[in-house]
This record gives sequence, structure tokens and C-alpha cells, in this order.
Amino acid sequence: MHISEGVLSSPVLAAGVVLTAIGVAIGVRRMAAEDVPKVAVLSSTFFVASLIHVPVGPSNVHLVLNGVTGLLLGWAAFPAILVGLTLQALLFQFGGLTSLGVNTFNMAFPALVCYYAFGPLVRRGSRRALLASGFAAGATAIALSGLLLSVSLVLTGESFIEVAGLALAAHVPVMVAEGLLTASCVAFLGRVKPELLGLGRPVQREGAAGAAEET
Amino acid sequence: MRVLVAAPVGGPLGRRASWTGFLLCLAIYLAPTGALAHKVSVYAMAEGDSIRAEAYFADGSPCVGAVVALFDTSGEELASAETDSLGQVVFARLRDDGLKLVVVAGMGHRDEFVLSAEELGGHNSADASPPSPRPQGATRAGGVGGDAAAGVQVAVPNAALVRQFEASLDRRLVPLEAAVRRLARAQDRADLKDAVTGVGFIVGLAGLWALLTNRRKRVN
Repeated sequence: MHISEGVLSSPVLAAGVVLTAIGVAIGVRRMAAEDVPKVAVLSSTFFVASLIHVPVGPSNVHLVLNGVTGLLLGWAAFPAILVGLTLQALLFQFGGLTSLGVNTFNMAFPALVCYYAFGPLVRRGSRRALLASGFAAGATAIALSGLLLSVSLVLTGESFIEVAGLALAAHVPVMVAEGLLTASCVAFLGRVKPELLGLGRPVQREGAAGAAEET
Repeated sequence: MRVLVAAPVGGPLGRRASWTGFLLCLAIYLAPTGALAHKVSVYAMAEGDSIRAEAYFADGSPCVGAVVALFDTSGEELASAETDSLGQVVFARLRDDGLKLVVVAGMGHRDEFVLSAEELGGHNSADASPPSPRPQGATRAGGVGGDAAAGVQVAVPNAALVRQFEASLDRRLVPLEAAVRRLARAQDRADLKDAVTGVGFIVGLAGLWALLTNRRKRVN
């Protein structure tokens, strides 16, 4: 999912830089001081997640975790993912430096979409809602990132049907894996640290004996 | 392709079981592959009359079915081919003054490798190649063939001896070349050191940010 150096045309790279700059500016503005540890943890998780891969044909795809990053951070997903991607480019040579803008937008924008699309479902506060929204966020974030990857390549000159088909097909295993991982992660957080999800009280598993209300 | 077996999260087993299940899922992904992945790299070496290129992922596994293209120093494409099941492709050595190989593996993955004239070396094949101009009177230590144009009196060994010599040289060189390719792949890897560095950097950045915002608050 990281686009390498020298693949995209200059207009696409420039557009990526501009869009990411806007996203990062808004994300940083909305970040309160007490959010910083959360942002740092998710940025680190995102950074390490790309080391976990699933081989598919001549290429391979890897865990991204932008779904859970978006659900928990909202707009702050932009700076978190930018930092993660910059370090990946410098330390692992994953993705190019000129394509940082495009790569960040391709991964952070779907994260933001998941925040707005599934955030309300998370805040409904039931365990079923957490599992459903977690899975949906994980899978949707990957699907959208694959789509944006295809669009980036198409705007550089490749044929859309081929690229999009390949990208989506290759990412389906990752969509399922991330969906499951995000669902279990969100459910777990709902129980032990609900404030990270914006919930007032812990979400106990259904059928737990006794009151589920105490913190 | 790995299949994720979803462990039950929560349910009657309790928090410890679901935390274990979560970690188990993660371990299933981390364990088999050594948790390394994702960029495509290409490495090439001159081997006699040919250039052997190898495309591989960050964990060293071969990149099969990717397109490798050969360019000369002016950027003109000379040849292209797909990598085989070992991730390798062999080109005829067409130039000696410098070559560039580019691998494209789909979905925006791309890498380059430049073979300098020095790495391409001189031709060590006694025939087949067009003669490159040599200065008059130049000698080549232990020269094997091809020096007739230099006008130096060298006893030319017979062809059978030359072939035998080259065959034994090949036996020595092939394992050496394979070892060099393996080293190139290993050196390219993303490893634990880099992962820890990155996480540490992020933590440091967060701390710095907290320090700055705290200072701003105090001032206000």
C-alpha cells in the first residue's frame, strides 16, 4: 500500500502534499494536550503494523490498522499516520519520501471517514455495537485505502479497471483480518478503557452477572 | 495466505481469555513470516556474458512475476522480462559502460538498481563479444585470449584449456555470487533495531510536544 519513489506523476504528488498538509493542520489544531499519549501510542502501533504482511501473488499486502487509528483519533489520524509513514520511509524504506503526501492521504482519509461513519455506532455503547463498528471500520478503511491507491495510480496513467481490480482483490484477505482485529481491539478497549472510545462507562460482555454499570 | 482464526473475545471465558485470544491472533501473524514485509527491492550482478537480477521483498522472499526492465546510461530501455519462481531474471549483457535495472511489482511498488561500469567489469569471455579497443602495447596479467589486437606477443593457450579454466572458475564463482546476493537481501531487511528506533522516536516526539504545550500553558 505504500507507493514507492518514482511511480507517481508530479501533479499527483503535489496534490497529495496539499491534501495531507490540510489534514495534518486540522488534526494538530484539534489535538488537546491530554490526547498526545493516545496519538503517540496509535502512531507507534501503525508504524509497527506494517511489518506484519500477507503475501499475495507477485506483490504483498500488510496490516495497516488505519481503521482503529481513525476510530480513536478522528482528525488526529493525519499527524499520527504522517509520523508513522515518515519513520517507515526513513528506517525501512517503505514507500518514497516524495510520495509521503499521497501515502498519508490514502491511509489517513479513510481513517477519518471511519471515524465519522462508525463513531456514532461505537458511542451507542453496547458490546454488539462495538464489535460491528470495529469490524466495519477495519474493513472499510482498507477498502477505501485500496481505492485511493488505485486512483493515485490511475491519475498517473494506469488503467483503472485493472489496477482497482487487482488492488481490491489483493486486499480482501487484509480487509477480513483487519476487520476481526479491529473488532476485538475495540471490544477490549470498551471493557478496560472506555474513555478512549469516548464512552462514559465500561461495556461489559452480554449476560455478565450483576450490574454492568460500575466503573 | 494466512487465515485468521478468530478467538472468542469476551464471552463466558472472561477478560484474561479474550486478551490471550487477541494476542494469539497477533502472534499468528507475527510468527510465520518473521513479521517482516513489504517493499520490493532489486539487486543485480554481472555473471560472465549475462546480467542476473533478483527481485525480493523486504523479508527476503522472492518477488515472482514482476517485470524487470534493463536501461542503458542514457535511459533507453534495452530489454525487459518477468521474474521466475526464484524472483530472478537473466539478461544478455549488452553494454559495459553502465546499466540500470528497474523492477515494477504492481500496486505502486518499484525499485531501481544501478550497475556501474566498474561492477560490470571487463568481459571474461574469450569470444562472442565485439572487441573493445585496447591501447597498443598494453598487456593484461594472465590474459586469456583476446589480446591479439594489442600487438603483444603472448602465447595463446589452446581453446580446450581455456574452457576448462573457465569451468573451474565458474564453480568457484557461482556459490560466491549466490552468497553476495544473499548478503544484499539480508542487508536490506527491516529489523527489530529499526522498529524500536521508530517507536522511541515517536515517544520522544510526544514528550517534546507535551513539554512545549505545558510551557505554553504555564506562561498563560
